[in-house]
Amino acid sequence: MPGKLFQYLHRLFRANEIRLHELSYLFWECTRRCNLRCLHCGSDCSAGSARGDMPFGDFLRAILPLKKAYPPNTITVVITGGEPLLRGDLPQCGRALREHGFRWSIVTNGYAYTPDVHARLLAAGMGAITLSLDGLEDAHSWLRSSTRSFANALKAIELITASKRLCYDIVTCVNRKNINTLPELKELLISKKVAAWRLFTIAPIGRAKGNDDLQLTPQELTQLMDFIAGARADRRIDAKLSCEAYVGAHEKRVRDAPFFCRAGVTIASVLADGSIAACPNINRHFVQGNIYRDSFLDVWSNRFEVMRNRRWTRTGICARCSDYKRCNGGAMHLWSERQDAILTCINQKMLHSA
Amino acid sequence: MKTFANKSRKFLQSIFKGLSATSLAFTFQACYGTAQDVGQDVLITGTVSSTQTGEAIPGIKVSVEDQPQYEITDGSGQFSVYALQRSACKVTFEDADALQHGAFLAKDTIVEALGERIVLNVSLDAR
Repeated sequence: MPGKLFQYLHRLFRANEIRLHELSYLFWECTRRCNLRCLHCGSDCSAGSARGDMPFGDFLRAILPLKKAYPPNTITVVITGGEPLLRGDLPQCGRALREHGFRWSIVTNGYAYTPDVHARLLAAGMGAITLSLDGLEDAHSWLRSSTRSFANALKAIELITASKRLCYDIVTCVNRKNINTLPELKELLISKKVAAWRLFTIAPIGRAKGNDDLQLTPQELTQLMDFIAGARADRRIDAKLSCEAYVGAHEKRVRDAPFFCRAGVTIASVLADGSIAACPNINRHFVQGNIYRDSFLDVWSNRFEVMRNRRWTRTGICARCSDYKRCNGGAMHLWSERQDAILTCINQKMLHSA
Repeated sequence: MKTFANKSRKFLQSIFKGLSATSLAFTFQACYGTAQDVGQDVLITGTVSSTQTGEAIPGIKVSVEDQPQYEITDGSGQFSVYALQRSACKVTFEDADALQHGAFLAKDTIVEALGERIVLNVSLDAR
């Protein structure tokens, strides 16, 4: 199919999804506590977070009315943090979600993912997991600020890949310290029988803001696109760029489907303080309500207009960008409260260096 | 209006699925989230009791062959464990707490693990 027709059909698809505005993906930031202190954390979580965990009952009460609007088995509750494994009641939370018909999954750094935890989460009906491995040992330990995190993550990967039940992927945040060792990391993951690998760049938000070692140069960004394209052609592992940003001419080389930021379109979050948002890493300015004050279903159904209609993003460098129709203002987490310019544009960076 | 949008979605999805490298291309994931769970599993639930007395037995480990997950029966002898759907699966019941609630012989049961939920009430012989 010619590229322009494909792009046109995808724009129709995107507009249709926005019109439907059906929730299918719900983050629950169950805690702000974390057992690592990663240099790139978008949430700026810590071991001694002043906020406690959100009581599970509060979250469940907020989302149960969703069952009136959607078949619950079409919604995956993605439990995130902080580090969700720090919650002792995680299996009980997951089991209760399944009893109400929802699917559930976790995002973890793998540090506390032991065989016993693995067994208990599977028994409680966990269906998907994403685990971070941010390079070979030196690079991973540097980013995660922990010397034991690499070995623990590798053990967790072995457990996960051996499970026939789990839908999973391993994610890597690519930065200046690990970009040149991606080929070795790929071989390591293949040796651990990893089937799916998602690569990120690091957005200049949260703790990553102002850390130049975390931001790839334009040449390195192109190097990353070429690496992912090569790994996809190799077909030994399903590598892809995450949906974090539009990458222009590289789109078809690095992803299965064109870029589409679904924040507030099909994705919502309940944050640890009860805030109702789109994705957890989006600027707090875009919070749409709070479960302790508002009906979650009502907020989802009647608000989120700022994400469903993104014409306001045609400003700053986006105002004169010829790719705007395809990109639609990029990813929501790259917009600050001022709403006057996107924080960074990978595509523009690569184009200017070409 | 919504019906038309739903029909359009199915039509457009069918086009993109045909064009994409994997048929799962439209089971999306958020940038910092997991894949959507599209797997099939079954909830195996039930009660373990004593053949001799009929009383519920706590502390029995319930596991499924070739899968790492297990559950320990609670104070009412009840358990529930999710397992991969398959036409036949072996569920094993083993005494996991030594003599704390009596000593019982292990037992294997073959079940058809299809559908969403199966109920399995099992009695164990005292050792």
